[in-house]
Amino acid sequence: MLITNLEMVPGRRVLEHLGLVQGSSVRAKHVGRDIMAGLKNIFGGELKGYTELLQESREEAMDRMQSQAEAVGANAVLNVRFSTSSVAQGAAEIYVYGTAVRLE
Amino acid sequence: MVDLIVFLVLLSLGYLVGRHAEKKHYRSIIERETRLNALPAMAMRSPPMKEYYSQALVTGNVVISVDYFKRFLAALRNLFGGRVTSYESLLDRARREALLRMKAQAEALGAKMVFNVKYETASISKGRRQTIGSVEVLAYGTALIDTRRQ
Amino acid sequence: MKYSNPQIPEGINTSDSHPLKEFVLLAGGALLLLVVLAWGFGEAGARLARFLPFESEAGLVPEGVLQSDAGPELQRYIDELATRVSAELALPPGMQVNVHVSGGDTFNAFATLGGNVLLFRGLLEALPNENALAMLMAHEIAHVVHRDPIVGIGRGAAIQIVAGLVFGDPDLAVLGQAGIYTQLHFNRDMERDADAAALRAVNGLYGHVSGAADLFKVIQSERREQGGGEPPAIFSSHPLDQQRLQAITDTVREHGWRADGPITALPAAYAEWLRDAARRHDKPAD
Repeated sequence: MLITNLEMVPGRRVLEHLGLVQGSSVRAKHVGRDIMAGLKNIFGGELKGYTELLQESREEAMDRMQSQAEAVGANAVLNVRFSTSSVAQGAAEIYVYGTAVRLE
Repeated sequence: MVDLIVFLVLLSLGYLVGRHAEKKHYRSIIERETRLNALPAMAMRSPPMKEYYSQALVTGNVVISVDYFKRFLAALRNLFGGRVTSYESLLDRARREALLRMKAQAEALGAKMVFNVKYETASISKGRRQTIGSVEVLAYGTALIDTRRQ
Repeated sequence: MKYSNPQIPEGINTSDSHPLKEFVLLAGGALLLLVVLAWGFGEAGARLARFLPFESEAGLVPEGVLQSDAGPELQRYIDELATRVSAELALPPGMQVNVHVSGGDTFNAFATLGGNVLLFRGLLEALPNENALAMLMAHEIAHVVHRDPIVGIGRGAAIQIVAGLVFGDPDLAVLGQAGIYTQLHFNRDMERDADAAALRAVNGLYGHVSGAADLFKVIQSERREQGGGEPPAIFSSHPLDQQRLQAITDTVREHGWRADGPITALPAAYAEWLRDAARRHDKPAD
């Protein structure tokens, strides 16, 4: 499965557009991580726990989008976009969406 | 009076540690940027239509927190209005770090350039306090890999 | 087509103003703002509070604050002294003072709303003579005459509202403390005025001020015994003990009052009355 945020693929023609596919994931880190993040708020710097949390949920969201794309018989998702929103303290929703297509 | 002492300790800790960390981070950013400039990132949507390019989605993300001193400074700035200088460098560092991580991922794939780069910025610890506190930046784009060399 | 990423110069998206300089400017400005606001609103609150008729104050006294553990003899003695002190302080018409004695061992005394004064056994026990007791009562009754309890509440409420409105951000809560220190400044003024009025009353009552200073010496030695030491003047609700003693000396010299004179002893049964009050405090009557 080809996932790209371009609108075209060099050298390959789009045979069929299969509409919007999307994946979403809401995750929270355990309280220990939150406490560490609270400490980091004094000193500043990278919150590694949250970086990983968001990376993991982004991968999950992409997996889900890919499952949707496979279900509709696509072999690529074009023009993919990410969106992040914080739902609550320490939890974040990752949303990813794109256009499912069948390439030649 | 105890409150005041705790506050002053946190403030000076935040200032000293935060300033040191920021300087170190900037040094590392500049050093990696110089190295990764060989792998250009573009905000253009249309890639060169060469058939030998294969492509892959690359991402880089980072969550950075502002230190106690800067948060206090920003809260003070909120009273008077004006340019919130203490968040400028936070966002600048986060954006550049995210882009560098994305480029590093592209480099690992053997890409020649990254196209259609987009940024996504979100504040993570909203709710606990009214101020931003920490911010997540995600940079993503499409890496173009020259297949002729493989 | 050539694609490249030249290095962009630093400092375009960030300001290079020194954070400490900005901090000093902003924090100084915020403190000044708060102190000016607290001052202005505090005065307004204090003025408004003075408009409240004295008679309506009594209804504002919270339940349970004013316990009275004095036996009949002690109460009679206290009331009689209070009447004599009040006469010297020239209570305005319609104002009435009720002095209560608590059997608790707290080292304190205070005047509250509605002309109520509460003296604690802990402090009463430490007083060496009637002159010092008269000074204590005159000080608290002077607060009532000056209407300090209601004025303090009015000012405190006004300052809290301002601090809450402007410094409501939890990150700035620590600055709100500047409001408290402004309030303490006014508090120290009220204490100084009450001390001066009380000294005048003691002089009128006995014809000399001997023994009045004993009150502050007792407070000072209790503080030393506790080992706490005094907080710095700016964090304190009262002037420093030494300043209060000095103020007595200065006032006496200024007015040419007699500093020495016969000390009036406390009644012989005074200590016994206080022990009785302590017993009543520990075992409240059903």
